[in-house]
Amino acid sequence: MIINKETIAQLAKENRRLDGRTLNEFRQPIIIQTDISWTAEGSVRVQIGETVVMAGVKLSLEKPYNDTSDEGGIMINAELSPLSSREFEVGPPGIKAVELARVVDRGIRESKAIDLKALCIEPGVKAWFVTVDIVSINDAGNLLDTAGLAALAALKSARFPMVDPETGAIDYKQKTDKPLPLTKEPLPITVYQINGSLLVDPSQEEENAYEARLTVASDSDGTISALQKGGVAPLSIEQIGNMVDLALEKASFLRKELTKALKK
Amino acid sequence: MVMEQSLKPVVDLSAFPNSVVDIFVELPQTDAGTRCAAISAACIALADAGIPMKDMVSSVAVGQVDGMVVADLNYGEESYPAIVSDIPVAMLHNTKEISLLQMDGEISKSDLLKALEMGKIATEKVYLLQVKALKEKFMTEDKNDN
Repeated sequence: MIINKETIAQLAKENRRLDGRTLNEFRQPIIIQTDISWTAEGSVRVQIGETVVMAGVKLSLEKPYNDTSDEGGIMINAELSPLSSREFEVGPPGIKAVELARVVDRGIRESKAIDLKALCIEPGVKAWFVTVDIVSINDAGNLLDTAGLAALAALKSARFPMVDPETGAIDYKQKTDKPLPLTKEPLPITVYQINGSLLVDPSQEEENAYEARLTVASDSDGTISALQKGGVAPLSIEQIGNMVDLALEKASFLRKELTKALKK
Repeated sequence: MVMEQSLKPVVDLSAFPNSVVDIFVELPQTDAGTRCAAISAACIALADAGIPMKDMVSSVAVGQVDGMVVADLNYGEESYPAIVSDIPVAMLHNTKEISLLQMDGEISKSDLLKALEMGKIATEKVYLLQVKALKEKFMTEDKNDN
């Protein structure tokens, strides 16, 4: 049997998937492993099925920007490394990497998930800047949600390093037990539409066959903090409502997995 | 990229294989809602250029400012120090389907649907202006011909 877009589309219409999952089922195993890097302030390896993403949080003290002199900052980078997929090449980030970083960044930044004012130590002089690096290790589909989960897990597990009260120098080798000032916990879930059917956590084959997708980042209370539509097919308001419902349901499922993993 | 995705569903390039349509947009003055204005303008330009199209795309931002669902947010509203959400929407006129949807901020699902319904009305107004602009252009050209 030749597996192509038509096969995937035909199956989706019959509410079936190539790997036997139901349409709204995530792949297993879901593994969230924290503190994988000793040099980062927070680090995590997230695996959903065969898709693996690593994320790290680095903290540094810098001069705040002039227009927000009483706030720290946050920056999210994503690298789709060539080792993770034959589609990715070496060199400057492609359009997929930029979108990935933007969607994760917007979910966290625009929902004001990190209290940037609490990162400020001395207005106009010194504030903490948070850098989140996301690296794909293996792309077997659904990098977006895996990366979003990894970023949130890394932020949640990050701890401030020790700062010498006299010299102000940072001792990266010693960590305090102070976590980042997280006020919300936005988690992105992407719902895909293939041949009219809605599904989550696509495999790579399914990612190549979708008509439209909607990424919905939501907080633990179900408030939506970011949306991003992709794909060529336009959507009706009713379809968007259905996609949001499915995304919220799956976000609470992944959130439970995350809570479980961080408790260990 | 978002502009490409919002216009692609209506543009029929099947008559021009192996060719590319470039759209250039300049923003000489901005007060929020730029991508929506750009998409609405690009759609008029495509129609004006005689590119075969199945529908018109009209775009406007909707959102919620401090509990109130509003359309066409300006910069002051976008950066208002309260709970704000900014949702750029592009809608196909005939099918009322959405080809651009982004959102920043905070909104509940019911307010989102309310905002999208408002977007339906607001994009309709943009649509009428787009059609008016196109008609006016060709009317004046007719007069010159005579």
